[in-house]
Amino acid sequence: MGDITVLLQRARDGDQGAWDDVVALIYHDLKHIARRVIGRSGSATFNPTGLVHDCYLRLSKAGPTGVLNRDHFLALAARAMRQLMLNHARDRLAAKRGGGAEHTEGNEIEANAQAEDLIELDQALRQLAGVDERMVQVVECRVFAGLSEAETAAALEMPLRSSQRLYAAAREQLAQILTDAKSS
Amino acid sequence: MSSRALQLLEPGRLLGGALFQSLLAGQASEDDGLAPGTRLGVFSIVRKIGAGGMGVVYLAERDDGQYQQQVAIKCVSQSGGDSSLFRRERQILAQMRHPHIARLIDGGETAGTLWFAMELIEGVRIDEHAHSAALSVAARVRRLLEVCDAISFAHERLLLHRDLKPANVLIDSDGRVKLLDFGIAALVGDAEASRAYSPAWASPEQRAGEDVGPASDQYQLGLLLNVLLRADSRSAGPGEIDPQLWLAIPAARRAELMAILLRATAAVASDRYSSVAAFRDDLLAWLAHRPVAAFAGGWAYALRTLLRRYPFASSAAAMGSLLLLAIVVFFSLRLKDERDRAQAEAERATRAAETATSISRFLQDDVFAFADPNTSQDVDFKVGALLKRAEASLGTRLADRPAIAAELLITIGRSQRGLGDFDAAQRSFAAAKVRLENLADANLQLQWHLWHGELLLARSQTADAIDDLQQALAIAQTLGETHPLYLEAAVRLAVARFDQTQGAAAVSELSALLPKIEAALGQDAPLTIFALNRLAIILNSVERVTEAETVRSEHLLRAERAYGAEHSTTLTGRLNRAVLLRKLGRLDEAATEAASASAGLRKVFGHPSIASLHAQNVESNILRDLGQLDAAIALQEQTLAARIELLGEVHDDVAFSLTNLAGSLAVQSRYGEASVHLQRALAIRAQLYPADHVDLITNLSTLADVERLHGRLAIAEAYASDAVARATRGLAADRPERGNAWYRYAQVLQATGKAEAAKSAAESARAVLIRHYPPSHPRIVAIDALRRG
Repeated sequence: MGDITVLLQRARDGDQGAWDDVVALIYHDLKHIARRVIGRSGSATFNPTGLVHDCYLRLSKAGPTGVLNRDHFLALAARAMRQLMLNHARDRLAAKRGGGAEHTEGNEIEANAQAEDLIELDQALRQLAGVDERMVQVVECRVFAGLSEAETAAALEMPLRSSQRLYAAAREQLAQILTDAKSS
Repeated sequence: MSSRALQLLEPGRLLGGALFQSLLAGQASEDDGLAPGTRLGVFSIVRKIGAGGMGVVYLAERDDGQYQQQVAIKCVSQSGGDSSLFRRERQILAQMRHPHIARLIDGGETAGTLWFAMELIEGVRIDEHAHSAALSVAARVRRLLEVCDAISFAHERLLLHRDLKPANVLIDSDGRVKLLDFGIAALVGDAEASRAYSPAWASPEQRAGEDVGPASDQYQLGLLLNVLLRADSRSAGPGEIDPQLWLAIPAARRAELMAILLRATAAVASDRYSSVAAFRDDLLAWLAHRPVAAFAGGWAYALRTLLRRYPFASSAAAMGSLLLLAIVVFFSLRLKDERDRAQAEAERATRAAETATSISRFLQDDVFAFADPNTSQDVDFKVGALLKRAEASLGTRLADRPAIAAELLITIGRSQRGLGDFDAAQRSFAAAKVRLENLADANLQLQWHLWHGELLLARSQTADAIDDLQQALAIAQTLGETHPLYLEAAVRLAVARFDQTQGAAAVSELSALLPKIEAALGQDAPLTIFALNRLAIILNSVERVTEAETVRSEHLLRAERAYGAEHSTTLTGRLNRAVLLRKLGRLDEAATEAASASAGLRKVFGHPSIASLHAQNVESNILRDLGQLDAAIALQEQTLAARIELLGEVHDDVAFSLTNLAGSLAVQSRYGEASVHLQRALAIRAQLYPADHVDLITNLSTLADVERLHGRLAIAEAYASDAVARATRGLAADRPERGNAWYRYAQVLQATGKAEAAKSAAESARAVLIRHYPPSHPRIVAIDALRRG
């Protein structure tokens, strides 16, 4: 696995392989940090946004300083998170179909339901990308990385009002797309 | 479906949700699994049947040719760990047989993987079962009791489960509860603790990575109960403890159950029940509609129960948080109810007022009753700190509602008075007064004067107290002479007047009030019982012992009817009756009464506690009168030692113990020892009281008497004249203690051959004591002998 900043640069240039490596790298870090966080304080108090920030700090320390822009990293991390969660949702549903009548554990039912919802949302986001890619980016930042409005605006290098407007518009569009999908 | 997908856009929905959690836990993606046929010990894997937070579960078969057996095998990947420890604990677990515990059959370590072969249970999760079988609330609680039984059984064998959650509690095909994974979390070891248990179900101490004990299992049982009670079975995690989410339960019953639950899931382990068995017992009590320990008789009872387990100051933290819980629960339940019910604006206003009244009543009847040393003698003084906090937060919370704030401040002040923190109480009353200034609320003014008067009475500022109580009475007059607050004020005024003068007038005042109180409030009303108690005490003080005994018997009858035989009011009354019977020379009856009171007080307050030692002291005095001197002295020495241990040297009760012991020693003519004890008592009292306090004077008189009998006449005379001087200065002219001081002085003077002075002192003694005793009383007879010379 290559240097994170190089990988990120290549990913931004459209290299799918580099992108997968970034996702894997972030996943590894997320799990590492999450274990620590959950182990310390229990799931109730744990903060996913903090996780992303922690992840960034770790990665930025690993790479040469200055190369990686923090805000931009957050936007990338958000996309990576989307990918991660989608992969996980698919694995989960595949396991559910393949495994037959397993006796299920605590969060399983809810997690499976969310997995189905997420796949549906992801499809809607793909459609939305055809309308306006920036809306998708805003949703990624807000929903998948848990960034605030201000953080989202900074990460996407746009005025706060624009990010707010885009998020509202994205919600409307997604609602429309999902309704259409249901009725068709 | 689509609207659900859209919900993922809500902040925190996705990242706070189960999917993200499971991603982080890395369960699904990391599952490579064991292939069918893989051998672990004598077992071979058949297929995977589930995956949990701790590992993967397989169906496996034993096929060593001897017999066939199907088991569930749980595999946990493990690096490091002490395998010898693992083996030993595994053996202990394997020996544990209980109908509700899935047995651990075997276990081992193969290629860095720990595996556990367990009895194969085919069943459904307890929460799913409760939902699908549509179990009633009671049935759900009963199912949890079965779980408690199993956990208790294990705890008695020093084993913890450590990972209780619905997924580990199944109902098998025969409808029996079965606990899975017993103790496996412990076997997996601490290195992987964060994976070993399920974070959402972990107790605070588990999360903090601290040592866990049985209380941790209790905590998880509490969470389990909460899940079982929820109307919605689909929620995956333990969720919030919120009675609003429960199945329909009548409000009062729900509050009790909530109290039980909050106790079991208290953040600090020491605030929980003493054991899972105690938790189970309380649930049983709830099922049987008996008072529950966590709630019954109000929170006061719960606090007292807790106090019993932590007899002294160590309970500060435990009680503090329980009291907070009590207040929080009460407020939240009540406010939620009010919010739900209040529809119209006008109705809401009325409701708000009612709410405040209820809150205040809660503090008064429960917290206050608890803090009142008359009902609960071994009070933890640090509760005072908590009240101070409440007092402080009140200022900000209710800034715009002075009437409510004032009422609560008055209540807090009463509690502080009950705790003996008079300065804090004074501050609370002062703060309440400020808030009352701009309010034309006669009722609150009345309450302020009434309870402030009571405070002053406790501070021995009797004259000021009478002032306040008279004002209270004047306001109460407008409410009519049958109003409860009028009667409260009148009773306290009578008591205050007695404190001031020791005059028998209080007897007739109280006697006249009693029928009015009974007519207005009922025979067994708290105020009626309070008044009877005070009347009995006053009658005893003025040496009308026979009457006192009659009143005391009546008091006991009513107290038992109103509060029950086991209540501290009843028990303390019983003890006081024993004292009276002893004075009347009915020693056998006194002994019986004292023994029964003593046993009861030990039950309520624990032993050694202030109350139980007080009872023990009365018992020893009776023994002395019965002529069993050695037994009496032994018991008195025991009491003394326990009191010093409990209270420290400088305490009133220690001084009393010393005095009593000295009395017994004097009867055995062991005057030297008696004198030492009395001097020690004197030193304690000198630290506690002003120079002419009645107890100091009595102590000096007794010391003079002992020294006289010891033949050290000069010393005796010094003590006796000191006592007389202080009595003349500090005591009202008709106080019997003043007469007794003169009597002892007269005795000493006679012994030193100062006949005339002795006669004159005896005259002074008689002048006082003849008001209290009949001429035939032994003391008067003795005095008359001195007068004759």
